[in-house]
Amino acid sequence: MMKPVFSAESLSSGYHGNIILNNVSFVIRKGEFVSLIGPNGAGKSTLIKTISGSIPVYAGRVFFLGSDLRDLKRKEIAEKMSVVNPITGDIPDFPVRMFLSFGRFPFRKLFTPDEMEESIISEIAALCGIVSLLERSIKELSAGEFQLVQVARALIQNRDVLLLDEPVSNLDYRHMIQVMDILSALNRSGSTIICALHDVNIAAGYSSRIIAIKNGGIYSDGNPGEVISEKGLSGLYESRFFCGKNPVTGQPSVYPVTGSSV
Amino acid sequence: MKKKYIFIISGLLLIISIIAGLCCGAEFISPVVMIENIIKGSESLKTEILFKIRFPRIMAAAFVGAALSVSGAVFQSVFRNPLADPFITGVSGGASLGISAAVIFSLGPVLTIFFSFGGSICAIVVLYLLSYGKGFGGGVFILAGVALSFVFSSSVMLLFSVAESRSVHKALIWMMGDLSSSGDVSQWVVSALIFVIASLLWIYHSHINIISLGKSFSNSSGLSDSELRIILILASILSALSVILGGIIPFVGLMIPHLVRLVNGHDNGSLIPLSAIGGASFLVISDALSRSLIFPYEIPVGVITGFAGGIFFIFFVIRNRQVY
Repeated sequence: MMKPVFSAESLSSGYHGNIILNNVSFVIRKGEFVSLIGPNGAGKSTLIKTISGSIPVYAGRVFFLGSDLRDLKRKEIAEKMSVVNPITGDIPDFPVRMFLSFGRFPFRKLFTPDEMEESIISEIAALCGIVSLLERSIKELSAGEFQLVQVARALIQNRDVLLLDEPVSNLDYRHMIQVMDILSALNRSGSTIICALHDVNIAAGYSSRIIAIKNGGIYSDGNPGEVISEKGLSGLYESRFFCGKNPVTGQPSVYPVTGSSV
Repeated sequence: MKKKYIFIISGLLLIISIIAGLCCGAEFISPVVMIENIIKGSESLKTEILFKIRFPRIMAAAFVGAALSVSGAVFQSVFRNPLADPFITGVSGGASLGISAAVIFSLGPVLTIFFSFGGSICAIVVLYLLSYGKGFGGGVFILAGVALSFVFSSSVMLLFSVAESRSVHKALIWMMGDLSSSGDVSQWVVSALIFVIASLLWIYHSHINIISLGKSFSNSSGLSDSELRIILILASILSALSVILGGIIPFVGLMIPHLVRLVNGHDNGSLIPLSAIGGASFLVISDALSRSLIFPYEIPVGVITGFAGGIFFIFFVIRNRQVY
């Protein structure tokens, strides 16, 4: 058994006193690729925000690499975990290169030049295929390009543990596959990846484990074959599904049945 | 490369505005006469006017303008709101309540400074709790700032209505945005503080850049809440210092960072120094206009910036009408 990266014990959390995530327990081990699926508002983003220390825990505990998350400083967390959250509101017109350099922020000290910065930025930019974007402004990128840049920034910060909140939600197929393939390659080289996804087929195709969340609790948890079934998904999303097998990859694949909402 | 030219041009603009400021006033002194007097080193009336009256006043205007613009630039980035500036958020209002109280109770200069810091920090604490604690953004944030400003100005009026008329007059003159009382020791102390705090904020420029990408981004980048609070308190103190030195001077902190953003972009590393230079130039020119537009009367400089900024603001709203 690999060592646990996250372990949550009867965890509850939410925003401004309202409980969203209610009494949730799980263990995520090193090297897992975990997808979180579930309806809108079920608590996928809340779970990611909670285990990344971005919102307070109301009850229960979360351990990250053996230490209680509450005992760790933001900076200590950021050194060992990187998070890709959707950026809302006005996006400032920073150049891509500068945006990527923010990934070095937890390691920077005042008045000391960062010698790693240049080399690590060019290495990761090449890995993510965004070298041609480096001098552009993040404001003028397409959604797909910006998502690649955000993943690259996260990788510059840390490659061991990655949390991503809906990394491919509004991307076209090419960018979707590009982002997920980068995550998959990282996972094969040992990274632990946790990502909230809306597309069950993408979750099935890439992850080693799927946690389905509904109404702030864990609805089902297991490998894609266990979680994805017609019965399981119709209970989770409250609509009908047809399940089959992807003839190319052999993974389970699902199709919502149109006109089945009532 | 492009940034270098922006810095050179704005530096030149500041030098030109300072020279213009030295020329303008009750008596127009041409630059040629000015240089002649300086070279000769004569103790004439003209050198007296230039060095004892106009120069300190121009320096006060420059530091006030720089302080207002830098704190405006920081507030806009931190609150991710294009309308955040010391005036609209009520931070200047808090400082002016503190100063009015100190003037009316004749508390002496040191306590006056601390009272103004206290007032401005009160305002920023309320805004911080609303926007970060309760998650209010955008419109609610600005409404809270406007509400705060009203509370502070009502409190000032309450103080005035019960205080002795001589001290009320003193406080009123200063609140109108008055740079004419400059020239004493405290001016240079306050100016030095402005320089130090603006520099500290500049040192924090990558923190401010990261904050400008939103709360969840800055949290997961390892930026602590205490660093955020330090930045907000520094920016509030900077606004308070501008109020101590120049009274309430509206719109500079809103307008100048916006204009700088148009040419420089949003990177606080260059936005902060360019806003300082731009704000200094703008207020020096506004002050020169206030001294010479309706001669022999002197218009408070706040009136000039209020007109310029108000018109700018209307254009800004029209340009961004799809956003609001």
